[in-house]
Amino acid sequence: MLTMPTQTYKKKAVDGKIVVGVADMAVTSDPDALLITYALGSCIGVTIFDPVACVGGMLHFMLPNSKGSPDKAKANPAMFGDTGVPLLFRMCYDLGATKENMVVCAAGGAEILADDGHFKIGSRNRTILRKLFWKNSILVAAEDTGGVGSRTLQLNVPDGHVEIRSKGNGKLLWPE
Amino acid sequence: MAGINNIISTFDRLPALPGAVNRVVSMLSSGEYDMGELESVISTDEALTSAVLRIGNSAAYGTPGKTFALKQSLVRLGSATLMKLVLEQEMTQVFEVAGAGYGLRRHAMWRGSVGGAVVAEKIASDSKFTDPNLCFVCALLRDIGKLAIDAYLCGDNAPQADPDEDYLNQERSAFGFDHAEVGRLLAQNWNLPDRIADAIGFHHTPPAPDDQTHDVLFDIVHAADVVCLWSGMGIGCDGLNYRVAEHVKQAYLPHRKVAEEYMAFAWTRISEIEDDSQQTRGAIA
Repeated sequence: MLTMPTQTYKKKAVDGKIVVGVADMAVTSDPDALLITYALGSCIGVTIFDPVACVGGMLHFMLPNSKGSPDKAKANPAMFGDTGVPLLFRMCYDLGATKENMVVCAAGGAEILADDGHFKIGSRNRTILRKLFWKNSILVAAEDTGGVGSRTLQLNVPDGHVEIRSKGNGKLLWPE
Repeated sequence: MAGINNIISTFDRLPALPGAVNRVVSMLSSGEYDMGELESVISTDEALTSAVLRIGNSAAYGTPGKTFALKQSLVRLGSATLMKLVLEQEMTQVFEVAGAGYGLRRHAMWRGSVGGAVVAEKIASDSKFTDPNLCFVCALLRDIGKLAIDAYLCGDNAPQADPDEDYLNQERSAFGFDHAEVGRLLAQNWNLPDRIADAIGFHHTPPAPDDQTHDVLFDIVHAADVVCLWSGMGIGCDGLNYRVAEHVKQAYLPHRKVAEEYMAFAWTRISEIEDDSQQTRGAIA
């Protein structure tokens, strides 16, 4: 069990908005909050929304696996998929969310142009996410991953809408 | 389509390097100066003086119980560290609000520039091939071409990335030039040394080792840029639409694990710098 600095991730909205940085997360039960994260490159953004408990959560993780960096994972579990995703769920549970009611979305995991498989930074992030969700029976409601574009991801807690901005265009990711 | 001369004409709309900074960089890069002369130029710039005194008396350079004056601090720092300090100090303010035409929010260009700088410095230290301070400076300045294109766009946006094409090609199609090329010209316009201007010009396309223009410095700046792209530092409408040079991949990013370690390092250092900056800002209530 990690000793996590969860207090860091309990953020208050400023002008209705909670900005989630790189290697960062936020959970809220503020019914008017907007959670937003910018510049998802190879990183992945995960959103959780529970309409019954009115809980929203967002994670922006950078790397898939913390195995080689236990100190970094202890200092900031949101940096890694394998520590950040479970923590995001637990923090949403702590606010009253339940697995049955959760709407989970994901975006990001882009690759650099013409990556011949040498790095696959984005792909490894996508893989850890699928593995975690599959092993824990989590269904993803909607996702927009891969490609080479940068993405902005936002979760509007009042109605649970998840939106993506990429290449100058916005689109509603959930509900589809 | 605009030509390169059109963009050069926008340089005078950019925040120029202050006279003191320009003179200091020019003196440091030529190596022709004496400490008294350097001290008198730096002392005309309050922010610069305070930065030199702060670093010169910091734990890394200071001696317990002693306080060093400006001239002593300059001697202790050395020219390479001083060049890094001067440009970092100056460009921080410029980058903070730059890049809107590329879809960058406030502070995003700063993160990309400083993130690249700390990674380049780290790669240079790890590889022991070239001066880490010089790598820091070149990576810090690598995207200054975007500042000029931003000014040229006058509130319009740079092209949205086509996922199948290198973004430099897309810039050339849209403008007739790309931000690396413009960055090199701007660096020359600022009288920065040729090697720094070339590192900026080649930061996406470093020449291969069998090319006469090959330079390890350019390779390291390129590798640092790639690490920033993955980390989402300073990426805007251009996304990750750039290629990794094969020889740089082999030399500096041979394994995914190495790349991931540099990504984690970038995030950690940037967070430390941001925390430090916040503490400095809040030091006097």
